[in-house]
Amino acid sequence: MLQAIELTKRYEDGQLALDALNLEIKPGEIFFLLGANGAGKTTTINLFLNFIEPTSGQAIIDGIDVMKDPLETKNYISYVSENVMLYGNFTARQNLDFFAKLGGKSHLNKEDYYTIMRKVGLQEQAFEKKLKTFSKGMRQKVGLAIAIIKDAPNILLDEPTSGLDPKSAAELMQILKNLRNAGKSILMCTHDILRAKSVADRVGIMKEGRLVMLRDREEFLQDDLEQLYLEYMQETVMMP
Amino acid sequence: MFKTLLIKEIQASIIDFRFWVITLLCICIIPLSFYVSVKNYSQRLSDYRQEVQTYREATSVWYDMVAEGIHPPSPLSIFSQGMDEKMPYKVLTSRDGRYRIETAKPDNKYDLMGKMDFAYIVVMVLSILALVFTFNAISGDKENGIFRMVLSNPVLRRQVLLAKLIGNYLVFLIPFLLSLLIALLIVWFSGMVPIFSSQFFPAVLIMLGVSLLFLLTLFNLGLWVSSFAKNSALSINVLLLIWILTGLVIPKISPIISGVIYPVESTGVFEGKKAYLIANIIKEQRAEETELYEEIKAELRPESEINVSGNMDDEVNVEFDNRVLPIREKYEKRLASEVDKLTVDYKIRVDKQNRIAGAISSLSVINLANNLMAEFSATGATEAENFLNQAKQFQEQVNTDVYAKFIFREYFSKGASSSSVQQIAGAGEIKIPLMDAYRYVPLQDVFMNNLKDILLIAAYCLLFFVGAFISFTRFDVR
Repeated sequence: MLQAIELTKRYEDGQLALDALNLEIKPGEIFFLLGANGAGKTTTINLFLNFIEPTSGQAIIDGIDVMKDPLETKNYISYVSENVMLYGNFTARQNLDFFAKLGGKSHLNKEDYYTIMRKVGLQEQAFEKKLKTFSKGMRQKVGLAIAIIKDAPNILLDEPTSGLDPKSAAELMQILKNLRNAGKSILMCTHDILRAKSVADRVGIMKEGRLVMLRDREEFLQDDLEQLYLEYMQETVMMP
Repeated sequence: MFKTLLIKEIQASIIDFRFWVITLLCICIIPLSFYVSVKNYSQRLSDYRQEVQTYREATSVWYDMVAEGIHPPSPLSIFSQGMDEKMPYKVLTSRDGRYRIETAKPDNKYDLMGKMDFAYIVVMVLSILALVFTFNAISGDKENGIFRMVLSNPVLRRQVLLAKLIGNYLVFLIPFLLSLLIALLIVWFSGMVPIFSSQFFPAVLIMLGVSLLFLLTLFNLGLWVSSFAKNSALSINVLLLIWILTGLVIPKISPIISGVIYPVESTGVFEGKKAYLIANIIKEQRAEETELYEEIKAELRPESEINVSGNMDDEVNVEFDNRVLPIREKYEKRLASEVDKLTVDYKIRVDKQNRIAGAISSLSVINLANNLMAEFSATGATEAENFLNQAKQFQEQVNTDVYAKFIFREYFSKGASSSSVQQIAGAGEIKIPLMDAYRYVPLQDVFMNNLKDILLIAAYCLLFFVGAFISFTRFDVR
């Protein structure tokens, strides 16, 4: 379970990137965090990953405060970035092996890696190819394979579908659904409203560091999510 | 966890093209430089032997002979020629005790930038390669987002940093140590320098230790800059700037700055002053001796007329020999004291200037390492000082063995002078003096003399590591 309590981040230059965020993502839930660039989505993820320290408030993963025991919390979280960058001179399998070991899975063999790579839809002939020859979509799939193999109860995804072709994006969504069904708490930051509509259990819209809207699936399916999003964005543009 | 990170770093470094470029470079230049250095040493040794032989054959023993003591080339100069070509290398003794020192001259006008010996390869070539190896070790991963992936796992940042340092450093050492081993075997097989003997091997090990410490320092510097630089382009630019400052600017500019801060006249001016002082004292001595001679002559032969022919009178000479001693002693003492005073004063000022230059140049870790290589190869300042001490001893040896075996008398009167030489040892008893048992400074003494510089490099190494550690563990992954 992922929890943010009054989570606030103000950078050294005075910019308020996240303003008292309160959020709870339960096991078996996919939460979509929508918002324009600079709205505070990535800052939220960075705080959960202890990449930056909060100015105030708490980020809690499975009951453990990230600030108090950052190393322990990382056992319970997987992360897929917007643009998965791995070791270009290593093959997909070698990358998977390295990150699996980092994530504490040291007993896996080649066949286990192949199974996971098949699961995320990577072509067989790419398994032993160097990552530097991969397209962005293929790299994202390896990134997802790394997140899956870690088998952590919480998954953070930072705009994982940007730059992906529709088929790959759809495959990714299917995998997320499967992970949700397996009881994972999933936080996905994105601009992709269409995916949110099809997959999310809840959505939140962020604007200038604040969570300005929170809707359950039933609620946002009744409203026009796209319209809501645009209204919030427009307000942002019009603000002095 | 650390093992996983370390193995990954080693694998990543080995498959990087830079590793293969460095391997190729090391395999080519390190054995080649040793091969050339051994040839060069062999040539210099043969020149030295020839010079000694020529001196031995062309010199004959006489009361005012000039004995030559020549510095043999150091066998370890195959590691670093250091100051070899600017070192005092020959002492020419003199009956009056004022021996001269000659300095070797570079034998080739293209030597201005120094020879590519082992020291040059380590401090100039490998230092820059160490920076090329590390400049993007952290900034690269930061730039392309790999750290976000790595640090989202339960790993300590210090483990990541240590794995990067140790992994990259170990991989860098493979071609270096392999090439060095090949090179040392070449030296060993050449038979010129018994490199693995107990005489030389400890010094070789110390030089290897200094090289490893120096390269580790450069790795830490590379990691530090790589940690705080926002991207790899900035990192390599900062590192190149530091390398140019420490490798090219500081070593060349420190003597100039110390000369400006604390100017000291050149050796030429000093020698001129000394010669002038000596000439004046001798002139005074001769005037006093002439006065005494005339006085004695007047006492013994008051009625005699001035000896216009200038012939010296034996009776007068004997009396003069008896009475001249206090004058000679007085002038010898004066000469010794005044020349000593002038020399000591000059040496103190030169030493102070050197200390200032040394302090400035110790800002450069490259300079420190280069200096240490020369010191342990017996081609540095300690060895130059050692030769000067032995030159003094050689002069004393020639005083006892040759000059003291002759009694030399000189008489000065108005308008005339004469001299006589009496040999008090049998013919053939006096051998041509040779500086054949040349003693190098014991390794232990060289080590103690240079311990400060070794510790200074270690301090730089630690400082850079702490810098890298703080920068890396405290940066925000955004």
